[in-house]
Amino acid sequence: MKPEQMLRRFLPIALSESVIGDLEEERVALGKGRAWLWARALGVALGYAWHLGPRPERRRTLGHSRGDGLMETLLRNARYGVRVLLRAPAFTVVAVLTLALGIGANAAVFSIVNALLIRPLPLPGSDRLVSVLGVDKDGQRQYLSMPDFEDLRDQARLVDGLSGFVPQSANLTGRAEPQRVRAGFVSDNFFDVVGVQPAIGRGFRAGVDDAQGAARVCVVQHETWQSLFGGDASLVGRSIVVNNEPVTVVGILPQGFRFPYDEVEVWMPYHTWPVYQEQLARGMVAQRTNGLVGPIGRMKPGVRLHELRAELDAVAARIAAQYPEGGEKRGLSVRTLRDEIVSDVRQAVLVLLGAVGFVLLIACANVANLMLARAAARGQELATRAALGADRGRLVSELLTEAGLVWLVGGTLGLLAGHAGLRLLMASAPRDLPGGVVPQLDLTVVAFTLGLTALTAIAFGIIPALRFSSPNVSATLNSSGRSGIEGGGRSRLRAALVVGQMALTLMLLVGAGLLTRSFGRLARVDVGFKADGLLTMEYRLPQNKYPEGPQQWQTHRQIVERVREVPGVKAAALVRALPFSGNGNTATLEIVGQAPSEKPPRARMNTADPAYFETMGIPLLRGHGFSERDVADAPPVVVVSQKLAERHWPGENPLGKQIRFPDTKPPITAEVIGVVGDTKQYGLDETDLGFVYASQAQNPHIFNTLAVRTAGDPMQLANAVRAAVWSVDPEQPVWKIRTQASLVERAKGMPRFLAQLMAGYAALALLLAAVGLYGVTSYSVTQRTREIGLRMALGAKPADVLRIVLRRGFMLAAIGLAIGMAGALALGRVVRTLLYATSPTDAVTLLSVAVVLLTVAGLASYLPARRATRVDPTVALRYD
Amino acid sequence: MPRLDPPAEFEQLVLLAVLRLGEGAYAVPIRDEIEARTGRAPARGAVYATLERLESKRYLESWLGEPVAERGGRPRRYYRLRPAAARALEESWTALQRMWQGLEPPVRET
Repeated sequence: MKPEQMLRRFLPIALSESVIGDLEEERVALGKGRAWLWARALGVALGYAWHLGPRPERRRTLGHSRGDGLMETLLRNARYGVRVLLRAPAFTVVAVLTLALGIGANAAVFSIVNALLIRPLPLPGSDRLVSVLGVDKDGQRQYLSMPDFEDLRDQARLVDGLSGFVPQSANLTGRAEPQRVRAGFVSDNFFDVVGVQPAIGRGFRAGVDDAQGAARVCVVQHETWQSLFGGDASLVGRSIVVNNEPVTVVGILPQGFRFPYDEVEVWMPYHTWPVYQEQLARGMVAQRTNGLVGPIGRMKPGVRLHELRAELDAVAARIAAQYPEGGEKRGLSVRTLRDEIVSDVRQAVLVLLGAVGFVLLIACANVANLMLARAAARGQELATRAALGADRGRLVSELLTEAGLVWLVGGTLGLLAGHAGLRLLMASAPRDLPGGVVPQLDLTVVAFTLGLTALTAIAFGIIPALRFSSPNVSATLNSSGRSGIEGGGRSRLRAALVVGQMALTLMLLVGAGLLTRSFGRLARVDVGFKADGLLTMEYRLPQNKYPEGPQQWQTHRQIVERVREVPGVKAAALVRALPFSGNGNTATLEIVGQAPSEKPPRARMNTADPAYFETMGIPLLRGHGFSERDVADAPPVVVVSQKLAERHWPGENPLGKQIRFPDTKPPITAEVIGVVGDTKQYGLDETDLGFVYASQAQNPHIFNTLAVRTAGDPMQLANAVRAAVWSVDPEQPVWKIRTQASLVERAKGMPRFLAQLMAGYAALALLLAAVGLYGVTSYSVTQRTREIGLRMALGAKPADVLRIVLRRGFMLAAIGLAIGMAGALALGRVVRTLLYATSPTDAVTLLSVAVVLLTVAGLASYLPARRATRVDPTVALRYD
Repeated sequence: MPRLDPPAEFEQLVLLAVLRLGEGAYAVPIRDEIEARTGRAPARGAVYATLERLESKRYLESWLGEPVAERGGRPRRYYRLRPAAARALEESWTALQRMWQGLEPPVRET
């Protein structure tokens, strides 16, 4: 639009032409450009609208202005509203800030909820994508066996395709430095199921690329193509070295595509997964107990999740009945891909949404309260105007415009606050959102938050309007004429609002208190090892380079020995699954010499080298650890954790006892040679299953983790340790180079973040509620000045006055407290899953937040109460 | 004829500016005149709104001049006082004079 057009739109036609001429004349005289013209034109349009008074012929009618256009009415009301609001700056500032805080907090958190739970995943038809896993008789989710997967794929009718999917890191070599890439091993129909096709080249050909013995091919992620291969278009058709084998790149996926389940960089046919090849070589692929694949499926259009579940459950039951050797009670877990991705943060995010929802409600109650107080204060003015014939529509529209202005300014500030808050939230969050989801303050969020607050602003803007524009204005004129005894109904409404605020605040305080207490306990949990001064890194030997177990162990041993020679290294050890790395395994046990139980016991299973326990600082409690004598052909030995020893051999000496592992092929029986202290594996809040450690020499594997105790800052040695690995095999990538302390710290991150956020929101709520209570008490003191003065003239002491005022404040707080407590108890189960070793009805928490609330309520009513005691009776009795 | 509302302060400034400028009174010099004499530049929008209001109150009348090249060929809208304005200004001046009799600035609160 040009400034001329804008002016023609906003000014009367006759005027606009001369204004345009005037501005053009000035512009030429001053030698200014178009920008100057634009700014002046906008200024004129706004200034004109602002200063345009009512037309003289309507001026003396206080009543309706039927002839006015909507725009004119709006502008006039806005002008009037702004003036009224500016005349009561305290009210305006408090109302606007309250709204801004409430809206800001909500916009930020709702953006995250929207991104995680509402907005579709960035894949075509993503709501039809499902993840299928097996469930064993104990309800543990696990990969499906290959034959189970194939039967399921062939028999399921409600899916358009079921593709195998297994993510695993792979070694990319044949370059300057060996590199780790994230690989996705998938069936040949994967890209059809997910709904994406390569932008350059092709995908996997059905029945060709995923066949055993087929030429090795891969499809590369667009970002990886750019970052690792410089966006070279000739990459398609070229060969790269993945897991020590030449693989031809056949396609590059379109820009922006990422599979939200895992940050895959290179896609390869499923059968090239090294674990699958190893199992195939050992003839174990056909075993129905051998979990090897996590399928991704696409539901047919129109199929509901529960229908698919019903079908797949029926198919699974049929398969289980037909092939009981895979576990008779095995079943399936079918989830939408989104649920799979967000499952571990969903509860926390929803609790946060609830918390900010409460904050918004409290903020709305505050604004409502302020509006009602304002309406009462302006009762005289409104009633007079109503009595003089101003009609209801006019008054209502004025009051609504006023409420709308507060909402507009508060909302705008709130969205700005929300934008800043979201960035702050994401920057301080302990980790990225799952699925690489990026929350944005998008239109949905804006509409949601503004809509919610607009409703309140309008609702409470209109109540006073209807009240004062009712025919019975004489009552108002009489009552508010002197000392204004507030209408009973409105006074009750305001009291109810304060009670509601107190109740909501208490619930938030309880939530924050519980999470804080829970985090305090979590942070003091003993992990069972000395995390400080430990450097860790992972690597996986290529299966085809080191096909045999003894070779693998030999290489691991060489690596750890070279690492021990690095200056600054005090000790170095190998472990299959490092605590807090996310890796880990469980195994079924049989205690030799004890009657087999109905439910065979399970324990965490790990393998370690002889130096592991000492390097990690895990205490050896009985017997001894592994030694160089525990080699492949020596009798199998294990070390168990104290918990496991106590569970299975209570009061007995566990040394020399035997444990059988029925699921290994063939089953192994090993002797317990030592007992070590208990440790945590996945998180601080896990239930201790007990540990069985086997010797790495006797159970070699391609994957391993180095744990290195250093003299100084562990990360200082990162390059030297990596160089030591490369001195054994220069083509061996190592990754996840990090300190053990950072891993433990990461486990504390989310609960700490949650507790801090909740505490922040609760503090905000407390502040808002205190403002609300202060406002109500303060207002009632003002209203009762005459009464108080009279009492004092009749001999009441300041203490009596103080008591009268405080009693009301406390009463409101106490009612709110009682309702809030009931609410907090009812909501306890919502936060239960987020709590560690803390009951939702934790007495200390409940008691302390009650004290906090009452103290703040006391303060909020004490300030106006003290003012009441200073009332001078002679002034008060003249008070109007 | 109904009695007109007395012009408000800013309206009086605009009327006086028109009076001072005589034949050449259009929005740009009116604003300049007010700025030169009071030291405060009024908002352009306020000037236009006030001019229009004064015209609709029958204090001012306006007409279009000749097209002017540096205005893109647009004519200027000139204003002049109507008798009602002259009367209102005189009344206002008289009222103020009488109220000020025996007083002088600065004004002290008593």
